[in-house]
Amino acid sequence: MIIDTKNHTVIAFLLFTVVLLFLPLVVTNNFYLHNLIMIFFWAALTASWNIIGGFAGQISLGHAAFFGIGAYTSTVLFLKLGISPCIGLICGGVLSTVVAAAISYPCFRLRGPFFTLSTIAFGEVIYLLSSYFRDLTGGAVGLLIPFKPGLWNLIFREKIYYYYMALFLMLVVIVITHRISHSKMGYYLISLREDEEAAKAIGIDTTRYKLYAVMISAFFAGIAGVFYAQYVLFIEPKTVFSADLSTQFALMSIIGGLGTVAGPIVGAFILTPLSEFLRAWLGGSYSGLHLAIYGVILIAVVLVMPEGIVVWFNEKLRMVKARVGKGRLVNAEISKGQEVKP
Amino acid sequence: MKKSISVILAFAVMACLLAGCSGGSKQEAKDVIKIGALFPFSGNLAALGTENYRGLELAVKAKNAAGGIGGKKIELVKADAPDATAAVSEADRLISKENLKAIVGTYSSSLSFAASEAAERNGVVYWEVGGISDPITSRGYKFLFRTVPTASSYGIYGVRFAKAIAPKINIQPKDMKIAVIGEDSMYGSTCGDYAEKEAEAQGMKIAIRLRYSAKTNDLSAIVLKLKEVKPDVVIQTSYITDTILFFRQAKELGLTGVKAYIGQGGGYALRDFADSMGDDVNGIFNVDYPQIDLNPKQAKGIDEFNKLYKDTYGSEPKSAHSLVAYQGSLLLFEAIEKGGGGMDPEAIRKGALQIDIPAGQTAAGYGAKFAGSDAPNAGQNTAAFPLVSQWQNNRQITVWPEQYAATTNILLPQKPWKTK
Amino acid sequence: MNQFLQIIVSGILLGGIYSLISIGLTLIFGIVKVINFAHGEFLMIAMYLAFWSVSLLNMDPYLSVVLVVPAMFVLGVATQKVVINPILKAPDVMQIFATVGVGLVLQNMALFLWKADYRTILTPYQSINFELGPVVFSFPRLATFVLAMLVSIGFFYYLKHSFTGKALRSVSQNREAALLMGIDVNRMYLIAFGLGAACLGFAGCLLLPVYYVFPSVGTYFGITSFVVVVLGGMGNMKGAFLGGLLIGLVESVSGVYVDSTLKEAIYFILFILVLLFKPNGLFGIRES
Repeated sequence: MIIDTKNHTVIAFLLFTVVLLFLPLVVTNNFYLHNLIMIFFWAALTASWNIIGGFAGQISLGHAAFFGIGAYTSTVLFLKLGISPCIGLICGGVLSTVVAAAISYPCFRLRGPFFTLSTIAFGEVIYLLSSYFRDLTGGAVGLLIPFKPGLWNLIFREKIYYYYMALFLMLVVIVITHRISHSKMGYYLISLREDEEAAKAIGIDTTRYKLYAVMISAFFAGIAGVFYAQYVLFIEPKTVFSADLSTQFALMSIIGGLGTVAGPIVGAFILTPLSEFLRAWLGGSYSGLHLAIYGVILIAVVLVMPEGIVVWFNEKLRMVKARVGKGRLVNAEISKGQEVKP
Repeated sequence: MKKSISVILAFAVMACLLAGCSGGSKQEAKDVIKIGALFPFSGNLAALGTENYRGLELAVKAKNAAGGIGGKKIELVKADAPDATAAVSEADRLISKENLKAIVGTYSSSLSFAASEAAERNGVVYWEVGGISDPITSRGYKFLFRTVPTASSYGIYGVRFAKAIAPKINIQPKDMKIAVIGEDSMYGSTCGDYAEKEAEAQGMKIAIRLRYSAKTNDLSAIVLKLKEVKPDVVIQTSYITDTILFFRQAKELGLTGVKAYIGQGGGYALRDFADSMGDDVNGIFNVDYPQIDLNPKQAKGIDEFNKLYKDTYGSEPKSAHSLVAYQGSLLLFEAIEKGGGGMDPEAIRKGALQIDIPAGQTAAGYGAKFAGSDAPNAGQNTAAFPLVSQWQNNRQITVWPEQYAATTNILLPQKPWKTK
Repeated sequence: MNQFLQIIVSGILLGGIYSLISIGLTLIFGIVKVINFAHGEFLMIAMYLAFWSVSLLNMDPYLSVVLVVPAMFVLGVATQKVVINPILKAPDVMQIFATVGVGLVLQNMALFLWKADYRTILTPYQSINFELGPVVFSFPRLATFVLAMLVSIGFFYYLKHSFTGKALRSVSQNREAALLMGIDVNRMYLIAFGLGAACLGFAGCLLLPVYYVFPSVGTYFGITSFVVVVLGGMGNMKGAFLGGLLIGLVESVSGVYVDSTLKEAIYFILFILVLLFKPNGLFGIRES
């Protein structure tokens, strides 16, 4: 990995932010706004999944549980007790965090695919329970949020509000993941991902750091769940707890670049519009073909660029630079990059 | 470094998006009326979603053959909605990118919830021709109209029909043991709940109510519980897989003595179900949309529909979903015409509210009269109701209420399964 | 009492189906050390192959085994060769996602090629029941059960006594040592994946008379087979057989005595508990 000077990163990030902040001045069409909202939404979810799945290397395929808990918490509070989703937002995040800690703690003793299997099972259990407790959750029928626009209800007629909400959520998650990746915790997570026994041997409390990772990850997944509920105004177990959703988080991370800050964002920025496009283009006339293409892309990425697009792109870029430039800086970058190259 | 790459990529994507925007806005043809068609074409719901869409496609074909709307041809813009999130996306695409003012959808109720919300927010007409869940029309939406009957009426008609056949199987209605079983999603819950309520209102008893997840691989538990209760009538709300599985396991485990099985649409209506049962399907009842074997005197245009379907797709309709979608879509065209022939949502809405067709004058048999937006069931077609049909000679024949029946011959009680 | 007996019998017969589906998964894991997340989709393909043999070639569903099993073997070998072999040394993540990708492709290609219709076949077998006192046995389920037993016994002996079987086992015990002994490890992996898929060929032909086939039929069977395999101990054939029976029993008993909507939740919880507390499986037997 190429570690850049801090200034470059900050400038790039600020540029990215400013462009997105002012983008609605140009993009006013609701369809494109919606697409951008979905991109931010997926980017936030994928980046938060990446904290536990990428940095800590614990592949969770049951993450939709935390997303769904967030969505249901705020919606149930709003519909049954009249509590504003502004407060529900925090409650949803916190409840997701608590549940994540409670179910992940015992599962962390499992390694690799076994951990993954346990997350799938937990995801299914929570899905089944959410349909079973009809009185609380409305069962498989789902919950409808009445369309009453207003800040207190966190419901808006105009998409622009959702645009900024989603953008803000994504930016926060990016900053947090960046902070983590450059902190002690980040290094601990990477070391336990590479070799858990070795990490333990040098005195890292691996379970504790995995727990921190999953809690942060679940908190944002929960918040994204609340956002989803407020945006679509209809939630049902089949949608918000679906196993496909969990797979989606992981998929975007892995295609973008697992365990990097930019990877999940790039993954979401490429795959979200791509799947919208493929569906609009093929879905109506050739059912299934767009998802098959999705699967082929996934296999191809795993086989050809297993570190994801971001790392692959960096490598290519460096190769080009090495061929063209002869400056000292570039050479320095090459030598740095080689340390990590597999 | 990585950040800057992400920025580059983000710009690239954005550029593509915007390029798509400018490239996508085609020359708007003046003599064409464009309508969105939002159905699940992929995913688990694809089979019936497609069948629903066919009804719309045929309605367009028929209308265009008859000169279109005010001389303008109708054109459909298809959109695939395999899940609720996609339904919102695609509704937004149809509204904002394709600039459509009316969308026809969606077959599945949960998709309908998500998509119609997006339409209402944008003041676009949402014309539901498939989803039957009651709450769709309980939201007071101005631009939402539903042409088909509601799930609650299925449950109600199931119980009323059970009462009507009581004398034929020599049981007093109050002594009749009814088992209400069904899958546990919105569809099964609504139909089942209303069946229970109606039974109470009719002074009948529900012997047992059982729920299960439609995803299940095994329904032996349900069958065994029924064997214990020995119901006279089973009212089941189910999708296709659980319907097939239920009857296979009922045969395997020797569930006997049930005098009538009354389905609530879903799996019971499908040819795939009949194919899985062979001759054993005969005698099974189904409360559902009007079937294609309606009494033509009470369903004006049914023969034309059947012929059109066969000519277009080379087979008989897979289920009645295409018929009701056909009839529902024709109602939309009528609303557009009554509203002046333009695509202004407000005008279409006014046109829709003017429609008043008595029962018997549409291909689906039921009439059309939409509830106004201040009614508790705003946008619902109050003249729509389900009918009861029976599988006879591997076809669904409408048998009840009598004036719609295509035959007076009702097979009762259910014959034992052919054992060999 | 009578009802209870019937519940037990139904549970065991259902368990036979789960066992048969799971044997292939555990075999692949035992030798290749890869969890095939596309297992359910392989089953779906097998069921479609059986369906087409029945409906296009007018074969008996049980006879279609002669076509379906070899075809599945080839599919398994191809998957191993193209997708799994190149990433054998890659991190778990990659292997998980490679197989998830295969599943996505298979399921959606099926949807694209064969549409979302629910397909069933009608055979005279379906309505053959044996009554033993108050208990009813249905022929297709009994046949599945017996065949599941035969297939697992067959594999067991094959692995124990044939040359290839011994080579396979040695690969499963120690990849490097087997390599040093001159065993073509990659070829063994191809065979193992092929055999695992071939097992599903049997399962597909036997399930078709009992169930239905549509593009996502594999999803739930796939998840159930993970549960079974973990319960039996990963890579343990006998364990998978017993685990299948246990899950069948749990499902049918809890369906009647607890709540039909909760029975899946119950066996998932059982699954998690076993993963956590008896990671080698319930039966604790390690095959050598």
